[in-house]
Amino acid sequence: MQARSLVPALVIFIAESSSMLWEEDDKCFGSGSNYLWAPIPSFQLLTDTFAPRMIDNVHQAIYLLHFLAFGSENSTNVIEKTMQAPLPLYIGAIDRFIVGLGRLSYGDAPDWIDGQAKEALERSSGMRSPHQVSNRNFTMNPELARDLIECHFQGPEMDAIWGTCDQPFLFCRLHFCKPHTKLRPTQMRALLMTRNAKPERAFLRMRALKTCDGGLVIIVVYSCPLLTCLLGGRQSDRLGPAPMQPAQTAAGMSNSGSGTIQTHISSHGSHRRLNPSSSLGTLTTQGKPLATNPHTKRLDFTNERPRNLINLYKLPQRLVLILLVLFSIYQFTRSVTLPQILRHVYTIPPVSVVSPLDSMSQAYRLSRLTHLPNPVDFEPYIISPLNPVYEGDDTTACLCLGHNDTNAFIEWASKWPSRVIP
Amino acid sequence: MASLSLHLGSLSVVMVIERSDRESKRELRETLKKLSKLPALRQKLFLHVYTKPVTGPVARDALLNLARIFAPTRRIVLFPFIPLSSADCRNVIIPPRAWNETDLEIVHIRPHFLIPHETTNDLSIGDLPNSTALIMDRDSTVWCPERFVSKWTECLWYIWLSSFGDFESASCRLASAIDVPSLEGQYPVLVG
Repeated sequence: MQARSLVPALVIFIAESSSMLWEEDDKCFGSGSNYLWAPIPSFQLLTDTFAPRMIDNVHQAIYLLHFLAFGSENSTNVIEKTMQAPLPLYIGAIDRFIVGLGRLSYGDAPDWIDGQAKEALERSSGMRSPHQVSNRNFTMNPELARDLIECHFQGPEMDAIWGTCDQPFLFCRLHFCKPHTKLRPTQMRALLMTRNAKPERAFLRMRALKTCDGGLVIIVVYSCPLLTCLLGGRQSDRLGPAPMQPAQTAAGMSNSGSGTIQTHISSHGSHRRLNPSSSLGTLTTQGKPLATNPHTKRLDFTNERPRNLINLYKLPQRLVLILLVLFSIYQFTRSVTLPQILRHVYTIPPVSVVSPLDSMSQAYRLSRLTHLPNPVDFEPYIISPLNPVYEGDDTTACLCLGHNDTNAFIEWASKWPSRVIP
Repeated sequence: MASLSLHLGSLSVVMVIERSDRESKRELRETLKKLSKLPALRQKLFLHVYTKPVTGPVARDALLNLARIFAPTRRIVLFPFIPLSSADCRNVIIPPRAWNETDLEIVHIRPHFLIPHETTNDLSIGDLPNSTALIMDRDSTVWCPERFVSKWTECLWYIWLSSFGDFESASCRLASAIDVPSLEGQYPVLVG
């Protein structure tokens, strides 16, 4: 009962899970959640496997929250605990309480959920008449979510929640999905494994990202049909496992769907290779079954081998090689973004301010900002002072600018007193 | 306490760019070059670049929270706009940071609303102008709500509500503020 994080963590979990269940765009699965970190590969797999498991988890989370609120002798004020969530770790938790539990209470179950999963979801949320759950080792009270939300919200606000959540299509866009540009690891995994994703729009490029748990994700993908064809589409077989050298590996993907994608995931020293397949069935590791090496798996995208352009067009081999080198250089220069270059130019000096926030990594800080739409890109500290000096009561002005507001900002910021001494 | 204790210094700025194409990058490069060449500004500016997704608007409060979370000092002032004139806050008195020896915790300052000079006559929380800036602790438990695309006055109201009315207000010359047009004008026209 004294834990400050338990209630907001449950609230966030319920909201995240419900967002995933109500998401209608299959490209968005697994992309909106920083908390679950659930690699949900495809819509089909979600409906078959993940949905019952997730509904089960939501079930239990709501049950626990309900128990904390009403079941025990020292009942907890859920709203108060949510509002007093520590630091920015659970930012916007109260909003997510309303969204998550409101949707579970008053929203219709998603269309694609049927059978036992739908029944379980409706039982936990209060969409149905009460009855007991038979296949569990505890008795599930119905209308748990509705109890929780109606206990804490009344009057016009309750009406607003009901009116909003009762509309079936309003919540399908709570998380803005951005699957076509530079992707986060979860998005990339979701996209790679999604059969109906359009690979030519994926704007694929080399990325080295650090995940929240400290693992390193290196994604090497080239969206180059020419390269795919020249390499015969089977280059991955010859290159061998070299996941820590991303520049040495290459894989192609063509608009027609042929080719392969390689994703190297180095997490705590383990390296993986994922190649998506249209059949989602063949898992091999350099010709070996997946079961022999749990860290490496490979899926063929299609069984069709791409055509060889050299034979097709009968170009001089040397010219083709020159073009290939030039194109590779072009691809590499495209893959390195300006902020990455600038970040190396402007080294970030360490800031010696002791604060709970300072101990967080940037990825962790970003993962706490739950409501930002998935950015195409975010580069913190692209400019920072070379030798910042602070005193105890210094104040930082926080602003957001549009790209066209630079002149106004410079005009004002140059007048902003560096230090006002009394 | 009679002396000014508002030391202003660093700037934590989130720059929002619309696209990630070549033209946009070129403009960004020029902007960064321009900012880097100003020595006075260069010594206090923490600039973060956020490339906006195409789908839907971005909540300004979320961007301000982003600037806040990357602010280098403990105390921050949130500007929902770009003030045109220099801030003259000489009458703003903020108590120094206190230390609660019982709980071994830092006592956060109560939120301070910096209200423009022209509109300081016993304003209630609902009447605060959009150009009100807000001083608070970066590590405070209260953050602007980021639900959907909220207005700045909602953030002020939420801060006021979350602090149970325990806030301070002071007049500060922040007039002639302009809105940020390229962020789709999520906030209404500001009081000049």
